[in-house]
Amino acid sequence: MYFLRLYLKLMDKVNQVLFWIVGILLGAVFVLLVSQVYFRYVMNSSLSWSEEAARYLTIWIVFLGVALGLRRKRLIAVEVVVQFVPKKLEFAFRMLVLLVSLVLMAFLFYFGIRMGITVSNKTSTAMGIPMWIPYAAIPIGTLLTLLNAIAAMIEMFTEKEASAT
Amino acid sequence: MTAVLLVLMFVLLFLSVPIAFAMAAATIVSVYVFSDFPIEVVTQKMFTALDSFPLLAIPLFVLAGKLMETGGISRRLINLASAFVGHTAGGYAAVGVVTCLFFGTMTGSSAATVAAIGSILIPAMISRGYSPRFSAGAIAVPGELSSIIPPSIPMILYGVTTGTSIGTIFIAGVIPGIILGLMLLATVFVISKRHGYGGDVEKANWREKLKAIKESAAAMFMPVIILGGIYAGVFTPTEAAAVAVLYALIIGKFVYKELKIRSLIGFFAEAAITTASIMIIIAAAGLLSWYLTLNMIPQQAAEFLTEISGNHIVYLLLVNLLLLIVGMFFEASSAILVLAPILTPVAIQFGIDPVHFGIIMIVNLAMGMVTPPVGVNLFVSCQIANISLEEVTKGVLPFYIVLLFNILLISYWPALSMWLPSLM
Repeated sequence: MYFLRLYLKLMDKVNQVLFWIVGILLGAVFVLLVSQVYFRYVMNSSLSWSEEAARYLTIWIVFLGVALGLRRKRLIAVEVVVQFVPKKLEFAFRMLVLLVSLVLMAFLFYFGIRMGITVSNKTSTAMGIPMWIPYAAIPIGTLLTLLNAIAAMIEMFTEKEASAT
Repeated sequence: MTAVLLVLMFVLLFLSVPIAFAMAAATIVSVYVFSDFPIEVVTQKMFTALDSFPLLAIPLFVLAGKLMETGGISRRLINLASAFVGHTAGGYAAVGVVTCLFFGTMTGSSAATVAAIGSILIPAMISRGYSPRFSAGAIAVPGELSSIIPPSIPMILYGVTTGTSIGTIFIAGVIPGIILGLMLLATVFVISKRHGYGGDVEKANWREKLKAIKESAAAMFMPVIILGGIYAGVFTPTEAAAVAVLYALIIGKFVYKELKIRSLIGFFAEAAITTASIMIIIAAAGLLSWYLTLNMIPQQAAEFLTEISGNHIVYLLLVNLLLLIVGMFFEASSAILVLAPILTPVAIQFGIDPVHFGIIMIVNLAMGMVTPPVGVNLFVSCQIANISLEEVTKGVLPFYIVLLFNILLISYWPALSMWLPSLM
C-alpha cells in the first residue's frame, strides 16, 4: 500500500515536469514558425530548417502529451455504452480499457525502440540530425503513457477501496 | 480479414477505449496475424502520418483559441454583439449566435467556442428567465459555426488527408458559415418571440455602439490577418496560425492587459495536451488507412458506392445520411480522417469538386456535434447550464430542421461554397 502511494506521488511529480516540457515545446514550435515568417518577409532569406524542426517538435508534443491526456481523461473516446452499464460493470470496463492501453503502449514502446535503431544511421534532410532523435518520441512517449496507465489503475483500486469502507 | 479488424475496432471503441488506441490496436493485430510485414513498420506509419507541415496549424489554432478565451477577447465580442442585436426578441440568444460567428473566424474548435461563450451567456440567459434547455441549446448549435467558418480544425484534417488546398477550403467555408449563422439567428428570433424571451433590453444608442466597436476593434482585426493573409498568399495556413497566436498574445497582453505572462506556460501546456488528444488520432488513422489501402478496401468501397448510387444526386444523399449517422457517434476529426480518403475519390468521379465535398462533409459532421448520444457541444453546454443531456437535446430539437435544410442547401448548391474560391 505504501509502495503504491509512493508510485502515485512519483508519477505526479513526473507529470508535473512533463506538463512544463510540452508547454515549452509548443512555445518553441510557435517561435520557430513566427521566425520563419519574419525571416522570409523582413530579412528576405528563408530559414531552411525551421519547418523540419517544428514538425519533429510537434511529434514529440503529441506522444508526450498523450501520457498526460490519458491521466487527465482527455483522450477522445466513445462513451455511449459505458454511460449506460451498471456501476460494477463500469469498473470492469474502465479497467479493461486501461489494460488494453497498457498492452498497446508496451508493444509500441518495444517496436518504437526497434524502429529507432533501424533509422539511426539515417539523417534528416534539412537539419542533418540523426533520425533516431525524432523517432525516440514514440518509445519515450509510450513508456510514459504506460506508467500513467498503471497509475490510473492504482487510483481506481484505491478509490474503490476507499468508497467500500 | 478486414472484417476481423473492423469488428475488433468497434468492440474496443464501444468499450470506451480511446479512439486512437482502438484504431491502432486493431490494425496492429491484423498486421501481425494477416500480413508478413515486419511489425515495426507500424510505428513508422504513425510517425509519418504526423510528419506533415499543414498539421502544425492544429496546435497553433488550439493555442490561439485558448489565449482568446482568457485574454478578454470573448467578452468584448459579446459586448459588441449586444450593442447591435441585444434589444431584439431573444436578445441574448441572438447575441450568442452573432458572437459564435465572430469567434468562429478566430478559432477552429467548436467545443472551445461553446465553452468560451456559453460560460458567460448561458447563466445570463437563465437568470433573465430564458428556459435552461433553450439557453443551452441556443449556444450549443451556433457553436458548430467554428468548424464551418475558417479557420477550422476539421478543414485542416480534410485538406491533409485528401491533398486538397487548405487555404481554398477555408475560403470556401465563409459563405456557408454566414448563411447558417443567419438561419440560426432567424430561428432563435422566432422561438424567442413565441416564448416571450428577451426584448426587454433598451436599444443601444450610437455612442454605445461606437464604444463597443472601438473596444473590440483589435479583436476583430484577427480574422483580417488570418483570412486576408491566406487569401492574398502572404502565408500558409500554418504560418497564419502562428501569426494568430502572436496577435492574440499582443492584444491580450498590451491592448486588453488581461493576459499574465506567468500563466502563459500553463496555457501552452494545456493547448499541447488538447493537441495530443486530437493528433494521436491522426497517427492511428494514418496507420489504419495504410493497412486498409494495402488491402484495397477504399477501392472496393468506392466501387460499391459508385454502383449503388449511380449519379451524384443519390450519392450526395447517401453521404448525407451516412455522415449524419456517423456524426451521432464519432466526433468530426476522427470521422474525417477515416472517411474522407474513401468518400472523396468517389465524389470526384461523380464530378463533385473536392473543395465543395469537403464543405459538405464538414457541415454534415458539424451537426453531429449537437446530436446525442455523442455530441461535444451538447456535453459542454449542458454542463454549463447544469441540466441533463436529455434536457439540452429537447432544447436543440427545433434547430435540427434548420440544420438539415442547411445541409441540403450546401450539398446541392455548389456555388455557395465555390463562388468565393473561384475569385481567388
